Amino acid sequence: MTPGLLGGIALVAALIFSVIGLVVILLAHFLKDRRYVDSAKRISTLALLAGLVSYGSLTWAILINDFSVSYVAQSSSIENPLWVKLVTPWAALEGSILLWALIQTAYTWLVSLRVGKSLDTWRAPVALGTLFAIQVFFFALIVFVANPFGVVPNPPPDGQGTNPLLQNHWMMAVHPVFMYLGFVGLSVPFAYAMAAMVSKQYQGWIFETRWWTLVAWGFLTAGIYTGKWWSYEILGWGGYWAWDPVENASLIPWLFATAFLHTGQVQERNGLFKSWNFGFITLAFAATVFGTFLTRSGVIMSVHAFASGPVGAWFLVFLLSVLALGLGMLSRVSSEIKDAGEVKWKSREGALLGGALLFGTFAFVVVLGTIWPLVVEAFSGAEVSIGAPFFNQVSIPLGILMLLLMGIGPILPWRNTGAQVKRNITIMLVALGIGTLFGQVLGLTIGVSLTMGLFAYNLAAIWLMVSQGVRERSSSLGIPAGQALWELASSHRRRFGSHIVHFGIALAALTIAFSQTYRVTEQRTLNIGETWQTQGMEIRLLSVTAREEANRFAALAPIEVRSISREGWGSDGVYQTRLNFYPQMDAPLATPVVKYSLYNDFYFVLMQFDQERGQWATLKIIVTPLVLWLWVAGFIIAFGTIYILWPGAARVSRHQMTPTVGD
Amino acid sequence: MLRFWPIWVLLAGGLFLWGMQRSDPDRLQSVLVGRPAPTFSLPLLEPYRAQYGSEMGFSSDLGKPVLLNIWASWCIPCHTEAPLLERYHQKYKDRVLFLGVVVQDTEANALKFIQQYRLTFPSVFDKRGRIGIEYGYYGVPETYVIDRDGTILARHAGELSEAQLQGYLRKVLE
Amino acid sequence: MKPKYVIALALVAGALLYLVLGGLGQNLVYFITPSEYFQQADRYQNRQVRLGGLVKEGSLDFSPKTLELRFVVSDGVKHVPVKSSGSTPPAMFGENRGVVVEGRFQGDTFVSQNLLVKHSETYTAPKDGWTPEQVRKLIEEAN
Repeated sequence: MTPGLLGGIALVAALIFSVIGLVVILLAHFLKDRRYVDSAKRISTLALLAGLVSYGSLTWAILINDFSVSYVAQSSSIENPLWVKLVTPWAALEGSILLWALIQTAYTWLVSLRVGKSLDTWRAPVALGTLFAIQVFFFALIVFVANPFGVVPNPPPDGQGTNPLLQNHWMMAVHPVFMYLGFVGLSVPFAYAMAAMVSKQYQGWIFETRWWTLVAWGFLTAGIYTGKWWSYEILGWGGYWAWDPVENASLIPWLFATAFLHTGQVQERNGLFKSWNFGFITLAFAATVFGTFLTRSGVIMSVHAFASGPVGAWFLVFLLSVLALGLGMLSRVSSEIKDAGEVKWKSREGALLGGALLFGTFAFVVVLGTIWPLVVEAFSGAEVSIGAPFFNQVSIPLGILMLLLMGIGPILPWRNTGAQVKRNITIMLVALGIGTLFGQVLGLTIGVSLTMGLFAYNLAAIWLMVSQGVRERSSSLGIPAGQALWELASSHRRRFGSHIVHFGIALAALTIAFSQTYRVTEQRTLNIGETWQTQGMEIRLLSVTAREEANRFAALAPIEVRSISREGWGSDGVYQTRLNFYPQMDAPLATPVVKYSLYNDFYFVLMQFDQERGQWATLKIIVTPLVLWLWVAGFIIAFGTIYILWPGAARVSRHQMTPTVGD
Repeated sequence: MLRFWPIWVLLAGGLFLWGMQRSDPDRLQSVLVGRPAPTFSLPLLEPYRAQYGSEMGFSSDLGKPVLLNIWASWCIPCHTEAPLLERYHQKYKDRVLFLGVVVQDTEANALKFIQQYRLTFPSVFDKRGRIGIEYGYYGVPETYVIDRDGTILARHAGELSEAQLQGYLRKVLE
Repeated sequence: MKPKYVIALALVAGALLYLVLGGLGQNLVYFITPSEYFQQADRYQNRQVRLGGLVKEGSLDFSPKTLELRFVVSDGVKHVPVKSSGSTPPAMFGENRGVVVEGRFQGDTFVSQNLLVKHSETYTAPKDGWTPEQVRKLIEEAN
């Protein structure tokens, strides 16, 4: 049996299992018969296995260079090294939808394991049914529209090769996987929300949904981060975020999910904000589909033009169904889930809702900015695009408000404010002032100084919260502070984890402000042996050479860099700047050499070289402060998320989950 | 607001549907359309020399519509396009000149490709990428439809479907 | 809700709305062709636009030493001279090829800040420009 045949059969099997699963679970719902739920659980296992076999066959076909399989012929090559072959399944459209579908089957299977535990048999049919329906959509799309296992009648001797952008950096190998794990992960909260709305049990879904959302959120964050990192290290313009529609597409679901993580806490505690939660969850999931639709339909101009095709229309249908279903259900139950009490703004609930509203607004603004060119064109016929300045202009005030709330929120007690709180806020505001002043003394711009202030303010908030908790515990139990800290940190994982994540966010904000404000770009053509003194560095071009590599050809221009003043500190070394030529791409790809240091980050790009005599090379240097710390912040956020999710924590929190209104 | 959800959904749907219909990736290259096709002459591949001579290309005195197809043996869509073009060449060979231009390829591979699909319409071999300079194409396959007077009627980027090919032929034979 | 919160919320919402709508208007980057520019030249002066067209044959002039790139963008009817400095042209860039330049008009010259080669990834791009073999040969001959 050939991998192409096996993969194709497994794919159809997965589609059939998904359809059967959907039918069976619908029977379970309408006949109220438990046995159907049990068979649906088994079917979800079968669908997962079929998906795995299908995905495995695609990998197998790639590994053995079977170019009779259309996907392999179009997206792989004999020359590719092993690691590139292993990531080729998600290098192009068909394969990445297959990966998406596979991850969906895995999530459906995981949810089916919760049936009878946290997911009672009343809600299970709707939750699983939603997931099966999504699964049917994806497998149908693969089988009928974007099949990677098409048969190439006269297999070519070699394939057309993998997208060079993917091969250029290992980060691109993990970025799509994280992204899909996050995107698909948001289908589970959506399914839970649907189940809650259909079964009219508006409270019980929230704890487990928050857990699932946090998992998806963690993957999304990792996906966005690896994407940023990749574009910083590869694209050669020295930035990491350009507000391109494709980037926005990943940010929008993240923002809605973040909003939910905040309001969800309130519902878990005292049952408020139900409609907000249903709304945020629906929008978060719809946004993942919206993002895929944007990147795959060619509706919006983007520099990352993906292959578009008939899948765009299908994603549009899917997007509209998700929106219609989510919003329709929500509007049907909206009168039943009106909040009973009123929210005090000067309380934790108020701050959490405020924060969530900011995230929601931000998401809305990003959506608006992304589709605005389309709206303008529809009404005036003029072709336009929205530049990054718009997004920067709007995200700065929103970001500042978020950082302010991020500090205050956790310090406010539930329900109302007290005297201790006023003192804490005063201390934080003093930190804010000192930080800002300090920035001004250093001669930084007002924006960067303010961000420094906000960093200090958030640091103060976290410090106050942790130290007061530790002091109380150590004095009431008579134990040393270190032990009290340890006990608190391990028994209140959610709280400490959120401190860690918030700290990471504050650090990220600080580094973004610095790096966006103080980036310097220079460019110059050097002859071999010539030196160039700039930005505290002395750069000497050593030679211009060429090298043949397995799947590409490279032009190399090694340079020697010496730091000559404080600005250039940390830049010393010999670097191979290079341009890579891939046979399937007519433009060479520059691979920047990035040298991180604790403060400045040095970035060397070979732009052009003397193709006739190899005498000169044009180099671009970009010096950006604190980029290293942006990545450190990413690791801190990831650590905080894992800290919350670590299995021990779930057990502790599950006790809180039993609906204890008025807790 | 929420009560009006069908309106929001329909609005979004309408906007995106319109957006998808509008997009036209080769908008910019339409510059060549309606202008005289650049003339060129390139060496023919070996199997066609007996019938057509050693060189062939486009010149304004052909007096016959031309379907200029740019292809390469390594391009997958070209593999599916080749039998289609061959079929239509057989049908229309008296009225329309089907001319292939092989680019970015080795002669041996191109010959193998021709043999594989038994292509009888002539193909020239463009070693130096002249056609790229003259016509500014940006990928394979790409097809130019040139009318009797030597004006470019249309350019088609990417694989031709049978319906599209029929449409172009109808247009050019009117 | 107390009236003072209502007012505060309304203020915040108003400021945001102003920022968003104002920002949307100001930061629109029009995408035009040379012909469209000449129809309404005043309107596009000194604002960010994207100009699209073909690089006119014989108009390309690039000096690698000063990194100044000059060429003429044409849509077959009208022509606009473009100046771009401080950056090297991307390799797919060339005469008779589609190009999109982002920048501003200064008088009759378009000063480009960003140069995008118009190309599509929907199907295989040709291995144009230099092939690896050619580049290697060139460099080897030089050394």
